[in-house]
Amino acid sequence: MANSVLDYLSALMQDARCFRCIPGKTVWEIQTYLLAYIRGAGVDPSALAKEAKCLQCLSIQSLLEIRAFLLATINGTGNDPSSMVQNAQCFEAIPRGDQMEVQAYLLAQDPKGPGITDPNLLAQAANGFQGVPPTICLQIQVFALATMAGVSTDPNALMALFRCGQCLPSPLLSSVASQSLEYSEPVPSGSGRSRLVPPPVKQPGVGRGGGVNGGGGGGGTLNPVATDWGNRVQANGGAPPSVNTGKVVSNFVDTLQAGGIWSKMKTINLMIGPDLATMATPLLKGAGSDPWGNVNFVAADVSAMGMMGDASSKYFNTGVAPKDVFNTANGGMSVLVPYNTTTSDYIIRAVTGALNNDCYIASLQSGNSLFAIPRSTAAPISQAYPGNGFFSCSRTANNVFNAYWGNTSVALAQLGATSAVDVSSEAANMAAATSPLFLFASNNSGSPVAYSDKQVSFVAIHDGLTLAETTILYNAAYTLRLALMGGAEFPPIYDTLESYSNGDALNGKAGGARWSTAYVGKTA
Amino acid sequence: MSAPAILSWSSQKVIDLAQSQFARPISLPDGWQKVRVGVTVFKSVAGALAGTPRFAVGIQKGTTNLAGDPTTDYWVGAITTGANWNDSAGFEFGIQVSSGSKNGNTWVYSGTPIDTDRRMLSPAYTSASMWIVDITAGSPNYTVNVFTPRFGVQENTSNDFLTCMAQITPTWQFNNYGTDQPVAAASEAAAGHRDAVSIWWDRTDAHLYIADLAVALVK
Repeated sequence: MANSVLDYLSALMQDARCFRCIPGKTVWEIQTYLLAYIRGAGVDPSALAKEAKCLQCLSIQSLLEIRAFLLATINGTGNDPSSMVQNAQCFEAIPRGDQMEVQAYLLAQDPKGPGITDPNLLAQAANGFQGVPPTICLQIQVFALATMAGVSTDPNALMALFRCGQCLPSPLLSSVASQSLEYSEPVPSGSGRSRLVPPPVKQPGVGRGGGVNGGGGGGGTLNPVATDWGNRVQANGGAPPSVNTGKVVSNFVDTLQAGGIWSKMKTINLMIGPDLATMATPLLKGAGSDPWGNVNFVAADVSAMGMMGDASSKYFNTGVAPKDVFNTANGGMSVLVPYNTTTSDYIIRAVTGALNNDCYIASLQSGNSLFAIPRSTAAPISQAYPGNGFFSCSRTANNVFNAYWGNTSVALAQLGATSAVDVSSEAANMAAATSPLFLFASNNSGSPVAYSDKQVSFVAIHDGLTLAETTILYNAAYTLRLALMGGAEFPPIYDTLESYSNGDALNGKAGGARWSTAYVGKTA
Repeated sequence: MSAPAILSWSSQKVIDLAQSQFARPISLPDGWQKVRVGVTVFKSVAGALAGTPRFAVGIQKGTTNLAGDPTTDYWVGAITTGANWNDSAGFEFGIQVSSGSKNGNTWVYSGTPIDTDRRMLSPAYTSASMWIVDITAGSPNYTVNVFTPRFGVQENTSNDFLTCMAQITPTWQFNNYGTDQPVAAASEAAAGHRDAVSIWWDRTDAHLYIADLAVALVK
């Protein structure tokens, strides 16, 4: 891989004549365009241009804002360029290494490249992270220009148009100017590549590669469901999801769709931070609220492990009424509980009036795990608490109701016996189940009771699923949480080193459980 | 001085550290609050050490400029800061550990150590003992603590170690936590997301053997 990166960069350098091939005006246009994105849909690049004192530059503050935004997107940290700008004393406050990372990151989007999306690898190949060569900067700018103008998605083709590196052909420049100085949604590439430019903070989305906005469709873009989620996260006041989170969420949806169970999902909340708004934004809204109603949770309650109740006052109102998603022959719920405490409680529950429309999962209620959709004249499925993990239940017929459990150590399996009680006589009760399901509490006809102190890192309300279908959901949920390194029963990634041979140099060795990277070993 | 290599030692494989260091990328989630880095470690030869031995276990940004390099990128974790390690029958004691950080070329240590008497196995035993470091993100200060042998020493199997790694508050005979110690370190936003575990040992007169390595997100 390293050789292919070097070869790639070497080829780029041979292709490029000089760094000054893009006129200062065009560079300025690119920057203005980016700035307009950052500041939101209502910002007119033309107005920004008027604020600039000349066509050669934006203000230092604006340049800083652009780079801060790109950096925040790449690293998935902060995400608020305004605060980053405020914290920065000057433009140089962004370390040079990070500036190079921004450029390397953008370069990684080039489909003509070696397929490396890790900016660190590219940056390492580019003079040890100390500087991306000027010719690479040129490539980046040409690529940005191509995306912005929508006239070509092949930077190499654009570069071929350069005669002596002094300017772009005038028709192309005119096209660029007309499109960049009149604010509009960016034109996605025709090749299906991710968009280069991250979306504005106020024009949210989650993207693959390009940082935050995949734009849907085409190879290399995010699943539109993930993009939609990213949009709603930000509309709800959350930070733009990071590139990594966007990819993980997209993969989750891909898995459910490929497995044929996406259409059986009613509402899903991935319980992802880093803020309360993100945590409350369901991936799949369905018949529920968006965001989920937050009662008494505060920002400090958000954890990379998921969300934890306090057993006294905090809960989410999903907005999902059982009558809208369940009936006596069909319904299911799943929750991932990575950490459990001892309070007897309900993870998710709603009951309206009569008990015979009671639907719930309790991981630990009076020592047992309980499942009901709906609770009828017969008792719910009740089993000894099996441990932290993935709890699921599904009704697939009036007289078929199953519970399932599994975790990172124990494969998903049926928990207890199938409940064969025919609940068809509860149809009227189910139709009257208007009280929405609460998470971390029981909704007793609108009143929260039996608050939970469990940690929850995944919630799905769905149709009745078979064991095989539930296994797809279970695998996808754990894959997601493990990829996010939080919310899956606290499993460490580890290496006992036993897969290596005596005398091997450590540098470059890759092994161990759940590691996806190799050691870097060196003298000190 | 030598680059770290794998060594077959006492029926297990270890990383042999002699004035050397290593890092390995990890992918921490947005908004992580507490991360745990743990090793099982063994000192290769008996005997006291003077001259402020440095054993550092922590996280940092990237894998280019590591903790033991002249320039370091946003390292934070636990580091030994005492002038001497004392020697007893088969183990070292009196190892002072502090929270520390380094960005650029300057180390910053907590004003008060996490503890002044941590312990580590050395010959006479044939397995390593666990050293677990908890790092809590903060702004401006990070908080670091260690869960290491304190009341005695005991050989730990990989399973012992991983059991403790997977407990929010681990418990183990002879081990305990010291006192949480804050240390100034760049926030995640400023550092640009720390994304590698980073371990450094600065001596050649005694090697350190790392028998297991693990990282877990606690919160």
